[in-house]
Amino acid sequence: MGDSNRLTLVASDGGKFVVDKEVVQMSVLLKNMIEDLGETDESIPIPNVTSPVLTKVIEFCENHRTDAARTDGPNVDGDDARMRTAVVSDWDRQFFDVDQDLMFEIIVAANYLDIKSLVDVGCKVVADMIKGKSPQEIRDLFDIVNDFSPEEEAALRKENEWANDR
Amino acid sequence: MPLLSNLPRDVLELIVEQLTAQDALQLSRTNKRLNNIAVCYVLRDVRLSGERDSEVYRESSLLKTPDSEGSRTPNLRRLERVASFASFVLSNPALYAHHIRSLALMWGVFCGCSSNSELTSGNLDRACLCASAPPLLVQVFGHAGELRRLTIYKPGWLRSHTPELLDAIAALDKLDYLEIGHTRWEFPAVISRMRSRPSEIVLDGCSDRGSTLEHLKPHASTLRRLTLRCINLDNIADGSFSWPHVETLILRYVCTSIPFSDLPRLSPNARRVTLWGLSGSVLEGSSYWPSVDTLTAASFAPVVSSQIRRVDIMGDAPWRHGLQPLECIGPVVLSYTPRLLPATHIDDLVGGTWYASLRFLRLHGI
Repeated sequence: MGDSNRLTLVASDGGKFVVDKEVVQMSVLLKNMIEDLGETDESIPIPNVTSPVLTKVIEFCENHRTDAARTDGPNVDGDDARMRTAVVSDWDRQFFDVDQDLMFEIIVAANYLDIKSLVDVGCKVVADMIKGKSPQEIRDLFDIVNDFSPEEEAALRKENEWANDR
Repeated sequence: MPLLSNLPRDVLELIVEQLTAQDALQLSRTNKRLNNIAVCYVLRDVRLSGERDSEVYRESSLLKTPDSEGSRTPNLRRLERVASFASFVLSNPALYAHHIRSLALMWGVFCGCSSNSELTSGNLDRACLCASAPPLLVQVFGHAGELRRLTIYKPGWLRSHTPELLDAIAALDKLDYLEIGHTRWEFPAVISRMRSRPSEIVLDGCSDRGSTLEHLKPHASTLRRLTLRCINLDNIADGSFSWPHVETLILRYVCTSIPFSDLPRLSPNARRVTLWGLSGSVLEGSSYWPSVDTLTAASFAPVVSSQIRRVDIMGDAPWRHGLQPLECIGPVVLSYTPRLLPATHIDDLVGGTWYASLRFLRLHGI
């Protein structure tokens, strides 16, 4: 029998990660999976997440492992509200100081694994990047294809006039 | 590799929630998918507001000047915004209208456009807007079934469309907050036939005659917070009526003949009470109000004779006899903001017997 407090996660590319259960349980998906499996030595495959992304996700969870204990847990409504309004910490900001591809992959993985705190922080970081920018600046920053025709853009400007001075 | 524009919808919604409406609007113009998500968010909290009254009155004369390029008045721009908002929602009401959670039509948005006779024959644009904006807006109400918060000030511009608007408001069934101000009596009257059961109602400067609390009767079981501001309030006929669940009661510049002794009966569980600038026979006598935990008093306020933990006095002492009523109240926390601090009040502050109960005293703005 292995250490009952640790388990192995297997990334989509075969990379193996031995992690404390306490850390893994920040993921609601994995927490439910562990509860369903009971005591087992079997490793848990994470088919949608690559090793580099899983490394970052585990790094975040290890750094935030005591957060849930400090509050009432990640799924309490009050905690959700706290996460929405809290300022992104320096550590979290530095954590997301990576290239955009990795940043979005981390957010998508966190969403898949249902790690609310990581999704919240990631969304805040992206929102901060959007704030104060024009549509063209946002397109340039995130490599967004403008799929509006010039006529559609003109119509859009006109129909959204009411919201311009808010 | 994921891009912003192809992130899962629930993730994009979380991102948009972190943005201001203006930033969400900018994002909505980048791409069709982002437009679909961000515009819905922009619609959640719609606030069509104008300049404050003084500015509107100053500008109202501009309405009578003919239109020309570059000389569109603020009033015209406001009407354009209303018409633009309503047209946008009505362009696809099934898609857009149910996203509207909060709608505020504030200040004198339409002031100066209350009568078509004010429009000169040269102002065709304005005449069209004045004619088209009200019915379009009324139609929006008909589709906004998810509306939770509604604020309307000075709706006089609606004129002949008022009955339809009131019917549409009465038909809404999810309103939790209703604030109406500077309206004629028919607006407060709609409260009595609303399907919604709001937890908070604010009536501000309503009616050209006395308002009646009878309108609020159907909401006695849900009302938690009630603000009455700048109104003449008629006495209530039904002596057994009360708002048992109101926790916060704010009365500012209310003139009423309701005896003050009736207020604790009307609102027996009010914990936070504001009595500010009251007039009429409500000022006579004093009343025991044991549920009150926090009292804010200013200008003219009746005297509460029960113990209250926290008292905020705004401006000079609101009672005829200075701070003497504090003897009965015995506050633990007192916040006092007098414009001047007369020597007699200093004596009251340091010499009153209530001083023994005080643990925190905050004097500011002197």
